[in-house]
Order: sequence, then C-alpha cells, then structure tokens
Amino acid sequence: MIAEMLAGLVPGGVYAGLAVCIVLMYQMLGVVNLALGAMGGLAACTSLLCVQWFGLGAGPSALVAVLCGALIGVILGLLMVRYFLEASVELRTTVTIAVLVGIIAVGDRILNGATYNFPNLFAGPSVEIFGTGVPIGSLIEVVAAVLLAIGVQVFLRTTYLGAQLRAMSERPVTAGLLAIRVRTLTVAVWAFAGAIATIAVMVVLPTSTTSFPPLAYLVVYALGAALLGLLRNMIVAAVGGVLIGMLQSIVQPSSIGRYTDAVPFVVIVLVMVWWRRRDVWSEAR
Amino acid sequence: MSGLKRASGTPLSAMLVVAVVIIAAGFALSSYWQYVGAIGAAEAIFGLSIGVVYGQAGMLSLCQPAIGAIGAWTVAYLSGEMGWVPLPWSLFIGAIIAVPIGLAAGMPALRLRRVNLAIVTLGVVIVIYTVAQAGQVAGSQESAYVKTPTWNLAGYMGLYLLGWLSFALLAGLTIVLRRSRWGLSWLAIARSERAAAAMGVSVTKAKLTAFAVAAFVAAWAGGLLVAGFGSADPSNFDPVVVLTLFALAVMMGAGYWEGALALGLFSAISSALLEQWGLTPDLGTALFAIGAITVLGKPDAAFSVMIRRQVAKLSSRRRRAADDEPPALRTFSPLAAKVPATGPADDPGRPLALAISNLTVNFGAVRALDDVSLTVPYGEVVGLVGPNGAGKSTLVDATTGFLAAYSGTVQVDGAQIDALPAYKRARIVRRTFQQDRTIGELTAEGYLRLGAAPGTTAKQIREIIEFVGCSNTATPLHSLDVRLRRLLMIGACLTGRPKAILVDEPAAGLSAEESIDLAARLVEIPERFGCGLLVIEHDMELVRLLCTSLVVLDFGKVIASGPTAEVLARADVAAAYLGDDVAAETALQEIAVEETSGRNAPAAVTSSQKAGEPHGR
Repeated sequence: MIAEMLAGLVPGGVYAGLAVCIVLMYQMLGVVNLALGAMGGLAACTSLLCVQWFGLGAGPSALVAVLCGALIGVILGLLMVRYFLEASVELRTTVTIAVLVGIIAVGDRILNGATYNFPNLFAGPSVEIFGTGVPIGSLIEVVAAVLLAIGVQVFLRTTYLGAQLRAMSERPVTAGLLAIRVRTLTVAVWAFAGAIATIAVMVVLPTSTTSFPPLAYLVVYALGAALLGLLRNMIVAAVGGVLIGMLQSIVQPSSIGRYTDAVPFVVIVLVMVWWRRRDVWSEAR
Repeated sequence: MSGLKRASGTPLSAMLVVAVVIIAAGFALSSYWQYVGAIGAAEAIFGLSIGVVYGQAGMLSLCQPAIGAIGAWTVAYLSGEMGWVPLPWSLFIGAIIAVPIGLAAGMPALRLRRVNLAIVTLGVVIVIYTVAQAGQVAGSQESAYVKTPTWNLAGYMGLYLLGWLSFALLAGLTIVLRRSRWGLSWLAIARSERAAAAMGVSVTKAKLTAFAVAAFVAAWAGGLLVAGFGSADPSNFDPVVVLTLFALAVMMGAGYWEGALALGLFSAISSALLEQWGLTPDLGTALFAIGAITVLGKPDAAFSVMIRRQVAKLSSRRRRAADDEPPALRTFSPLAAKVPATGPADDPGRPLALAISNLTVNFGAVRALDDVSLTVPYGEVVGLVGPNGAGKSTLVDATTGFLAAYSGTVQVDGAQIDALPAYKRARIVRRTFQQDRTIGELTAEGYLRLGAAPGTTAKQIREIIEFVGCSNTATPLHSLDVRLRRLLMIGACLTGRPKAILVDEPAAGLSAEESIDLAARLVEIPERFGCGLLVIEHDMELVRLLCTSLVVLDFGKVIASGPTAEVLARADVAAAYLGDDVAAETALQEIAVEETSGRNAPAAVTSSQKAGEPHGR
C-alpha cells in the first residue's frame, strides 16, 4: 500500500503543478483552461525534437521547451485579450476546448506515432522511504508544486503586482480604468502557466512518448484537483493533485485496475456534491 | 452562452422543406455519401442532446455525447451479439436504458453549476471512455458486430433513411418538449433557479428531466453510430471527440434544431472531404479549432442564431404595419381607491391570506429578522416598508421558502407551510423579485403559462396579460421594456392563483406616471383575484395610495404597524427612515407644517426618504 502511494507521487506531482496553474488562471483570468495539459504537452514535444533532431542535451532541451511553453502561453493569451476579454467564463472555457482540440491535432502530427526517447531529467538517485525507493525527481516535483502554490498565494497577497492581478481578476474593466495593464498581465499569466505546465508534463515524458492525447488528458485530473480546492485554494488543489495520483496508484494493481482512470472522478464527484450540498440555488438572492 | 440561445419556433413549412430536400438528396447521392450523411445524422442528434442540456436548460455539461455509449453498447449487444432484436427497436431500448444513466450523470448538477459542473461532467466523459476501453460491458467488445441495415435499398440508403428519420423524430420531440411545461421549466432554470421555483417549477425535476431527455437522444445517436460502423468502437467516445462535438454545438447553436442539423452536416461532410482530398483528419480538427474560436469571438454568431435573426428581421418587416400601439398608462385617484381599513368584513370567519408569526432569521451572527409577526387579510393590500437592509426581502425569502432555516411559522389561508419547499409553496403563495427575472426568450403567453396553476385556460392567461396592460403578446420578453416585464412578473404570480402575493419593490426604476399606473393595477388584484397582497416599496407615494395597512421594519424588528396614515404619521417611523434624531425632528416639523396646510402627512416621509437612504446598511 505504502509503496503504491509513494509511486503515486510521480503523477500526483504533475497533477498538483497543473492544478495550481488552473486555479491561478481561473482566479486571475476567469477561465478554466482545459487546454493546459495540451499546452505543456506540445511544448514538451519540442524538447523531444531538440534531442532527436538537433542532438541537444537534456538540460538545454528542457530549457527550450519551457521557453516554448511560455511562447504558446503568450500566443493564446494574446488571442484571449484580443477576442475574449469581456466574454463570460463559460465562453472562455469553451474556447479552451477548441484550443485543446487544435493542439491535440498538431501534437498528433508532430509525434505521429513514432517513439521518442527522452533522457530523464530527474534521473537522480532514489530515496528510501518505508523501504520503498522513491525517485528524487518526483519528490522534488511534489514539493515544488506545493511551494508554487504557497508562493503564488503569498505573492498575490503581499506584492503590488499581486494586488494589481487581484484587482484585474475581480473587475477587469475597473482595473483597466485604474491604469492597470490588464492585457499585459493577462498575457503574462498565460505565459507563466504555459511554462509551468511544460515543466509539469516533462516530468512524465520519459514514460509516455508515442501518443499525444494522454499528455493533454493529464489536465483532467488536475482539473479535478483544482475543483477540490473549489477553484480557489491553490494549496488544497496541489495536495488534492498528489492525493489523486496516489489514489490512482493504489487502484492500479487492484481488481478494478482497468478502471483506474475513472476512480478519481467518482471520488471527486462525491466529495464535491457533499461540500456543495447547501448550494441549493444558483444565485445568492 | 450566447451561442446557444433559443426562441419560440420555426414554421412547420420550413421544416418540411428541409426534410424533403434531405430525403430526396439521399436518393441522388452515391453510396459513399449516403454513408457520410448517415453518420452526419447521428452527429446532428448528438447536437440535439447538447442543445437540450446546455442550449435550453443552460447547464454547462460536457458529457452528453459520451452517454451515447450506452446506446451503442445496447445496440451492439441486442442487434449484434444476441442478434435477435431488429435495429430500430434496439435503438429505442438503448435510449430507454440510457435514461437512468443520464439521471445519474445529472445528479451532480443539482448542486454544482457552471465551470464546476463542466469539470465534473468532463469526469463523466473520462469514466465512460475508461469503461468503453476496458471492454467489459456487454456490447462494448468488437466481437459484437451489427450488420448495417439495408431494407432492400441500394447502397447505404437504408442507413441514411434510418439516420435522418431518427433526426426528424428526435428533433420533433425536442420541439414539442420546448413548448411543454418541461421545456418551459428548462428555460426558466437557465434564467434563474430562484425565479423558476418562485413560479412553482421544481428545479430538481427540471434539471433531471433535461438530463434524462438528453440521455435518451444521445443514446439513440450512439446506437446509430454502431449501425454505421458495425461495432461500438471506444474511439467514438474519446474525450476529444466528445469535446469537439460540444464546441461544435456551441458554434452552430444546437439549442435550435437547425443548429444541430448544421453541426451534423458540417462535421460529416468536412471530414469526408478531407479524407477524399487525402488529408489526415487532424488537419480538419485543427481547421475546426480555428473556426470555432473565430465564431466564439463574435457574440451571437452561432449559425442557428444568425438564421433566426434574419428570419425575425424579415417577418418583423412584414408585420410592422400591423403593430398596435401600447395601451395608455392608467391613472389613479386616491379617492377612487378603497378607503383604508374596510378589513375582511365580508367573512369574519375566513382565515387570513397570509399570517407570519414570530419569524426570526439569523445569518451567522447577524439577526436579520427578529420575532416578526404580520398578517395580510384577504382582499387587502398591506405595505411593508423600512430602510435598506431592514430585512424586508429576507422576510419574502423566508415566507416563500428560499431560506434554509428560520424559526417561527408561516401560514397561508390557515395552513402552515413551513415544511414545504419553495416550488410547492408557490402553489399558494407567490412572490416577485426586485431584479427583472422574466425569461427573455419566451413570449408573454409562454411566460405566464409556465407559472400557471393546473387547469388554467388560454383565455384566463390572455385576460391576465390584458390586465397587466401588455398588448404585445407575440414578442419575446427581452424586447419589451422594463415596466412591462415587471408587470408580467406580477402577472405570472396571478396565473398561479395563489392565496397571497408578495411583491418586492415593484416600482423600482419606474417613472412617476408608471408607478401610478402600477398602483392602479395592483390595487385591483386582491378583490379581482381573491387573494391578499403584501407590497414592499420605498416609494411612499405609492404605499400611501395602495396600502390599507402598513408594517414598518427596522434592523429586523417591527417598529410600527397599523392603518397606513396612522403609521406614516409616527415620529419613530420617520426617524427609522432618516436614521438620525435631528433629521427626524425636521421631518416632524415638515409633517406639522403640511398638516396645517391640509396636505397628507406621508408626503413628508416621501420627500425626506431620499435623504435618509444612506442610513441603509
């Protein structure tokens, strides 16, 4: 059991990282970014290409990929400020569905069923915990995700830029009237999320390289984790992500192992409905 | 959500022309294109199912096409593996089996909304896809092979006919449902769940019926795919496919049948063309993504919405000449109004229309209502006044069942209703809201029909529309002015034939003349419709004209009650409005001056009320 739970830290850390970005984007920009995993996945693919085609080392390739992730974020951010600055949350979210579908098409084209080998960035030694070897990389990932959550929350609460971002998330138009550069900040948040998503996805790259959609679908569990944080609390979202990863890892070898992908959602639905049991009405009054 | 808006209907002739063209086209097409057309029909039906849940009921649920898997497995099992159920029947059985699954998928929607619901329903998509891939459910294995129906027709004409007749049937079903109470209740919850419940609509039932109908429709489409592809291929329910259908539905405006039709044709034809041109489907997907983003970037650019707008423009041009003038505003003379305190003289033994006793409501540490008691006799208009934050709307919420907890009792017509949920209370006590919560897509007739008590005739509804002074019965409510929409909100209360009606700030935002017109109509309600009326209002002129008695709330407590003129003359009432003793004294002086000059006292309260507004908490 403990061995499985610790093994779950690998996907758990990825979900946690993505979940923090989802909450950040929802809070700041009013969009549930269903394409986040795909963005990270597409950027991570460029690192594969750097290794394969240009013979770059793992480190430089990863750096290129992160930059690429930020660039994808910038492009999408510009798209959002150009056309959807005043759109509803639902409409923006629907746009990310279209983005997701588009990126999957591009990603499929790039990977094209071929197998790529990606040197493991986190191929460091394993740490022995309760008699189980845990790769140091996944420990770093989990800790990094939680630190990211705490760091972003502290940043938003204590810095001037954080205050500007919060103002923008509450009232974009009013924030604009207060000379806050809403467009620039929006694009910056998209770029940041793209970069973080790329790092998160690269952690699992060595194990999944032939098909693109699974990379894009990582976001689904991160969305579940973000939901556990009520799309508000990044720390709960990060912890939720880790727990979901562990849950999958526990279920995998069991008799319902073939339903591993489904189990977290059954749990998330039950938890959410319980938490929201008093939300009888759509509006407060 | 603008992309999926809806309206009353399309002419039958237009639908018949489309049906004839599609069927006739089938005979002219090659076998390949007949097959493509049949798959398009299945996708169009998926569009219909999304149109019901998202387009009509306004729930951001992504899982409808995935529920089609239930239909696919059923058809594959019954018509393939078992082989003994002929195809149209297995489609129907699959659709029926999907209903409980749809209900289960809809349960989270009772508490989760908007993007939360989107994430959870995306989870449902993943769950179904996982089950499909696991291949353990009967019918989900590739071995369950269904022979494509031919019915002795050339090529794939049998499949083509099956697909498009299914579409016609299910589109007809959604059109009929749209006009039924179910369909009206879907539109109502999309607009406002509270307003829907206040009209007697069970929000739970409305949501679940939408999910059930959508599941039925989607499962039919899933079954059709099996009839075309031969087996229930999990890739048909891949999350990307499901999400693409959803985004397409938003693009095309699948809340209308023509949007769903466009979805099916576009999706099938574009992928077939790409295949014929030797291009891989991912290029088509990428093109679709660009198209979807372009369409979503323009408000109301969904295909079906644009079509409807053009049609509406043409028909309004034709109709304009016949448009009649709105009826003139009524005037109201206080002398002609009922003299205060005639009371329930006609039947002293009759219970009160509304009796609230010892009502106490706490919001955390704040006591919003403190031991409030008031009564509204039949045939009377009682006013409830007080500064902002005094607890007036909280009282309405508690009385009509919108608060989770309160202490005290509410009796309507002598019956205690505290245990009833809001939509059941609406059978005997109705309310309006301060904000406009009418349903913009409906006409006055449809809107009033939604709130009507069982057995209400069309004639009665027309009479109420006339009573509130609306002459424009064919226009959707969103193109009427605020005044008419407010009056129709009251009219919708009347169609429910309640014992008591609570009207929350009906004159807010109306001009002086319009307020008078409103008063002239409101004052007739108790006698004409046999009920008691509680009016919350800040406009003291209106209160003075309208109410036989008055209850004043301040900080959640009743500080005065009794005949209107008496209450308005009291110094503490003026003080509550002004919030400051000095101001109260000024008001008293004003009253004294006006009394000596022979005018009514309450006018002073009216003039000083505005100065007192900042007192509101």
